[in-house]
Amino acid sequence: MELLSQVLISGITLGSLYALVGLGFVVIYRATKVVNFAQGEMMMLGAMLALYFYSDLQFPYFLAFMLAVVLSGVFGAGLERFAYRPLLNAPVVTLILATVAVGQMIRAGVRILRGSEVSRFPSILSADPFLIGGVAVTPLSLSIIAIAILLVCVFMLFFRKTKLGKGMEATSENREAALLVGISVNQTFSLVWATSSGLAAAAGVLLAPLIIITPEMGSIGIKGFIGAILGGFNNIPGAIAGCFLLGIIENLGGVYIASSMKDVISFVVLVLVLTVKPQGIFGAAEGKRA
Amino acid sequence: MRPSPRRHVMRGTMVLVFAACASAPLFLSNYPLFVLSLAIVNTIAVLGVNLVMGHAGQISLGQAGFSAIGAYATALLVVNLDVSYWLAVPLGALLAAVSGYILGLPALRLGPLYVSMVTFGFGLIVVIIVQNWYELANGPNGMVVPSPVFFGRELFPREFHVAIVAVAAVLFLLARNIVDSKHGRAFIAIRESELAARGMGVNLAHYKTTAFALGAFAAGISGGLFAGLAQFVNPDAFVFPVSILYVTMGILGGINTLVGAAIGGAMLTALPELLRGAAEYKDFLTGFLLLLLLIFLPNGIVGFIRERFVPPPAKVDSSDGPRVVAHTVLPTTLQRRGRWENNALLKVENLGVSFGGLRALQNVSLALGSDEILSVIGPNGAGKTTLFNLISGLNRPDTGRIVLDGADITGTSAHSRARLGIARTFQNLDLFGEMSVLDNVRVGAHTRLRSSLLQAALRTGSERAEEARYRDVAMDLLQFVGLGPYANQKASSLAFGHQRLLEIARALASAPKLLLLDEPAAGLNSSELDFLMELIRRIREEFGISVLLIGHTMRLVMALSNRVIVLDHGVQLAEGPPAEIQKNPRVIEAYLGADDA
Repeated sequence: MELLSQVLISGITLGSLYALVGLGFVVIYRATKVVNFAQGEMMMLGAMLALYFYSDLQFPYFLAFMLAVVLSGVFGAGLERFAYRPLLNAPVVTLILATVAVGQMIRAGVRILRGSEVSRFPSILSADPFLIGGVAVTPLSLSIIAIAILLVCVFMLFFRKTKLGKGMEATSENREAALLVGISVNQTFSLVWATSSGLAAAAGVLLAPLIIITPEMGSIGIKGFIGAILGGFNNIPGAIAGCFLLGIIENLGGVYIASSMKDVISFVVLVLVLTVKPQGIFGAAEGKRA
Repeated sequence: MRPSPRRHVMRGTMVLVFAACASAPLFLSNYPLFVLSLAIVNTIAVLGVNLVMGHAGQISLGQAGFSAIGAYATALLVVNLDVSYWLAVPLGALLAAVSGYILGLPALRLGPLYVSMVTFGFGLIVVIIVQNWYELANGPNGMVVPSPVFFGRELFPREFHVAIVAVAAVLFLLARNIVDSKHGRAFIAIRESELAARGMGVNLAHYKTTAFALGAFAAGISGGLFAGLAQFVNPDAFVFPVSILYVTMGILGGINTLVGAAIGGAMLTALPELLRGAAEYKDFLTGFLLLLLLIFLPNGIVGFIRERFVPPPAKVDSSDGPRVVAHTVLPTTLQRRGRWENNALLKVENLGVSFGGLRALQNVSLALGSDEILSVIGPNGAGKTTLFNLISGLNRPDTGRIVLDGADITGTSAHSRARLGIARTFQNLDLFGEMSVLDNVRVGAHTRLRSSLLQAALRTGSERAEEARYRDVAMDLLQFVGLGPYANQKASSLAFGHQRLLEIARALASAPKLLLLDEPAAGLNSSELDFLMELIRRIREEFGISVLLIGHTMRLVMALSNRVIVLDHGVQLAEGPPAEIQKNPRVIEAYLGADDA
């Protein structure tokens, strides 16, 4: 029982990070109908930048965090401008491949600049556990969960309440109609990619103390996407719930089946869910006309 | 198929290239020969990518995973079970094909978003599994594969090269045969428009899974050959960047051509070897090249050459515009497979459907006799196209029944309805734009061609005869609608009015009992309209095909219809002969608004 609650806590910690990345996936998908295969790499980039500012340049943690997020956001907007905008009218498959290409470039680029060496992010908060009701939790994982949930809430409010957020929604529904009512589609798309890259970077910085940092760590990012699919892409709260669920499932599987099979488990769950309920566990079926 | 001079040149070039590759051991030293062998092995994997992505239009990011299955299955069979290498390779490829088929299953209902994800995940999983499979596959360290044995003698790499070339040549030939057949056309039809493909009787489920299986088979062969060539397999050879490399090779050469696979495969195998960079530089350049290609050269080298240097196909004949041609073949080629027994060919009873709360159609009933032309009219949003979608099976009704020739077809799929004798055109034109005009019509005859994939791949005599026969049927139909001269042009290059006619020819090619025409006159000028009316009349009178027609053009509706049904807001308002409908006050009100308003 204690083991189970322990697993649940680490699952929720992981899930909150998946939710951050997953939200970025959903944001891009809803606006552009594209799966961003470079999302995990943006996450890795965020972690790398934070490491650089914090460890190499000795900036304060908060500043390093902000710089990593903002720079990644700017980078994301730049990608939109130079890599994705020229393909705006191309088939979706082409755009997906473009994000695959960009992801590979970021991954290889970081390897070129930093080498493939493994780094550790110095801990800000103690990883010493304390007990809550018999379950050991660390300040680190608690703060990660708290910050991730806070960020998710902020962005949900942003989409629901602000004009910019609604503009994004409108653009995703109908690009031409959005243009007609005076929404700048290009500006909206820049913002979408910037936001989503920033979210990914934030997830990367938060994740950094939990794992070792390598150019390959971006493969975790794809989990956010799987979680979002699990929960349902057309429903943001559902997608986020799916991310938490995936974090928990993975950790359960890791403990009770085999830890090396974590990734396999998540994909098997994905395929099963897609086969049985393609719109996701919490997603509503979309009325479809041929 | 009568080969054109260009085809002869292509064929000759291919033979020369294969001959040069096969004789390479005579003049190349070991290392360049190894690179050439590797290029050909890669080309085979790319061939699979081109079938799945280029032809069938399905994204696949896990090609290296299928190669891994082929390679590891070969290695394990040879090392542990003492199976002959030459048997192990096809067995491994079959295993890969089965995995591809299973992986293609989710693709049936899901868009590119999910398919990209699932194939990506698959590639990842395969690598994770072999990395952790210590007992048999030696985990990350990989396995040593003994050199292939041929009639009791171990082959040197130089000799093995010839085997690789031979396998590649056979696979290219099979792939070309498939691409040139009914099956290849079905792939492209799915890529161009799933909706229209379904309407023509193409079973999406079957063809998508088949495409994935074929692509995986090629990858599996490639993996098996790689195991024999490198005499070593390890997980690193099949990681995600390798899948990307295959895709990049495909796009560089030209993803929708088979030759492109060879060009892209050869260039991207040789180039990095020449540059001798570290892996990260290679990966970076591959990614960068892929991005540049997508933006600037999406059709690859072959596409570029075609656009720049190959003139578009000329018109077959100089005479312009649609014209009525005398024909002799058509009535027999369009003969229905058995006459219907019932006087009422189509019966629709109490049909109703809602889309997310909107009741698009309520309680609509109609009966269509044999050799009859029945028109459905009504204001915009009346539910006319919805009715067509229900009859042709693209949507499912919530209530009611559809009976065709005495059989209840309410629950059958769109593609089987095409087989049962329902053909349709689309209001907004849904042609296979990148295919030739002739091939569009040949896809229309999809359900009438019976050759299996295997017969097509081997190009058996019966398959060739069938292809030739239906090519003539398609040509006749093009003549019939006056598009004969445009047979070899791209469908998307046709003028608007001609595209409407092509839709009709394509629908007729299935030899339907019932033809659904969705606003065939929209956007036509008055002489085109005259031609169309004559055409519809002849379709009914000469071929005995019943016509259900949606019309906004009153001249057409009033002149052709035996009866007219009026829909308004999803409800049946009136039914009767044209003259009666014209005077019906409720109809006038629906169109013009009430007088007392």
